Amino acid sequence: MKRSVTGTDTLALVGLLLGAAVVLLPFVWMVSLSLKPADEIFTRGVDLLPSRLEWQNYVDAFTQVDLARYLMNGVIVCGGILVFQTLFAVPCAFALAHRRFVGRQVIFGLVLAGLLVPFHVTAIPIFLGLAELRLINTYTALIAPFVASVFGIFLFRQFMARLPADLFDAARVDGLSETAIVWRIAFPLAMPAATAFAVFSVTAHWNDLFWPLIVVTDPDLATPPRGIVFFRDAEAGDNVGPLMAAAVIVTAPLIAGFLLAQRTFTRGIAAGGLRG
Amino acid sequence: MELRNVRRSFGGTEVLRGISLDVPDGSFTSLLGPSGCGKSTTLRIMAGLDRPDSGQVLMNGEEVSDRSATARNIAMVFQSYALYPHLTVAQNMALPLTMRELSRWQRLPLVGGLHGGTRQTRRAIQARVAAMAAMLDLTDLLGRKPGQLSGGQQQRVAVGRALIREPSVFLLDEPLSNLDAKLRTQMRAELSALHTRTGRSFVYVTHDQTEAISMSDQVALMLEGRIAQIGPPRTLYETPQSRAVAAFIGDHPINLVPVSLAPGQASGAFARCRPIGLTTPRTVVIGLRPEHLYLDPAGPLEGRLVGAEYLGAETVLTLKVAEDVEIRAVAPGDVTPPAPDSPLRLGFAPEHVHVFDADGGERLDLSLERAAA
Repeated sequence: MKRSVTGTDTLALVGLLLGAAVVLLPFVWMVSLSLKPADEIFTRGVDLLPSRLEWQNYVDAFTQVDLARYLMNGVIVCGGILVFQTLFAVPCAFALAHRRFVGRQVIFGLVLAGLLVPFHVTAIPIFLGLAELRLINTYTALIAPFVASVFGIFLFRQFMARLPADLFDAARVDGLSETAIVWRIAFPLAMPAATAFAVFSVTAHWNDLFWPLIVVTDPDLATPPRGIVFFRDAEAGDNVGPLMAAAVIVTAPLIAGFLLAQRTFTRGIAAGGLRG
Repeated sequence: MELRNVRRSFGGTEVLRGISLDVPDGSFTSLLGPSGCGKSTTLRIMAGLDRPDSGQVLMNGEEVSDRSATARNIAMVFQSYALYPHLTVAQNMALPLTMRELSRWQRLPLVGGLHGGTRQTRRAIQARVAAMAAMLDLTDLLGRKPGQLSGGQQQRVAVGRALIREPSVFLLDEPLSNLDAKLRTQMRAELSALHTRTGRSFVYVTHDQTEAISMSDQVALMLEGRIAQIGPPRTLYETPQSRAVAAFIGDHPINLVPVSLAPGQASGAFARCRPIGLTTPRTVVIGLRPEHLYLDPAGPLEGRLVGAEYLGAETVLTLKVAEDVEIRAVAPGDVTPPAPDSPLRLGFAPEHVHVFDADGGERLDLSLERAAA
């Protein structure tokens, strides 16, 4: 059904467009710089569009540093984190939503409290622990600190609490073990929540520079943002064109992934009770 | 299957206060009662989804309280059907068999195929699903998801999923309550036919007495966490053991009139009647079903017409027989009711009179007949 556009609608629309423009500007600038020839980058004027497309920046991005390797590391680290987070969060969430046990409320309270603690608070003890275990400069150091996600538990538990209990009773009668119920019934039904969670998790860890900067010095283990930093350290000095090209390459998979999962993502958020 | 003195409380409220119930092999037993009487809890205990606080759950004489539904070989149909929304009809029906007949490793997506026999077992399961679908007229729907089915079709899938394991006891929790009236009548007949065909024990929970009475071999009427009476439907209707049972059973609510009786003499509205079998005077409650009262110019019950409700096949007449005492009687629909406030007389047969103790409400072995002139 169509409805007429009112004055307030127009105002809201203009506001949203302005907001979008502000948010998009750095991205547009990044893409633009990545395509500009080196001499155009440091001119005084602000030209949004390059005079000619300089694809050499992209070639440099892959050749000057081992960008393919960093992207691969990003996939391994984010994939590892996501797999383990899901592996732990889904059964926890199911238990919190659909099992009755002593201390359930307390544990859920702890999960909520855990949401309030920023990772940086625990970063130093975790770093010291990893150092003690001689795990610095390993994939483990990049993955292990994140495998238990209170946010994941919370998101899945909110979603699963809305699934009818009858469904799980039916599964019990049909001979499914509790583990089978979690993975064969609850998890497939929680796909919207899983998608939302995957987007959050992958975005956060793909973009994370803080933790890789702390635990990884070996270039072979660098994640994409950590790898981009190597451009600045490169002896050639500030190599902005290739740097921006690398940034575009690093950001692109996230945007593509989000666009693909957009619908399920919003559904997961809405159903997960995160909405106002 | 048998329950012995089963008790269950939830947070201080005693929901089941000592349920003893015997479900003979191959019988169709209904648990009938108003909502909150504990009938669903009883069913969950039978299914192994819940445990009794005390008492025993026996199957073939063995205590099974600690065993799961699968170990008891029990199947259940839920009120909401509880079909798995992400699986097709065929997958829904196959799941109980997959879980029972394939090992943990065989069920794994890729690895499972490596084990010899997995494919044969899967094929056998497919064949059984197809046979069950044919029996329930679901063959064309096997590839659909539950969301694409009508209520009646979902219901049949739920029944199919439960029956496919060939359970020894088949539990149904208000399976028809989400269907419209016409479909309900049809499914009632289908379930009865299914019971005859499979020969399994059915335990059927419902709050609808028509369902319970029309399908069952035995009905257990539950009130406030106790079994008020158990027996064939006819017994519950004809000889209710208590006032509460009499009040629950019957499409038209039974007339219950408190009366004091003395040997040879009744009082109040029943002044023209004489008790049968009474030796000492006592206060009782007389129960008379509206459908057992008939218009009779010489009848012992006299009153004035207060209302007439025409229902097509029958007319429900409301008579005021004494101060504060109204009695309802069912007359055939073709009887034209007299004008309001006109005097009417009703008759009844002594075998249709139920007499209950005024305090405890238990049935008394008494009746009433018309006093000779």
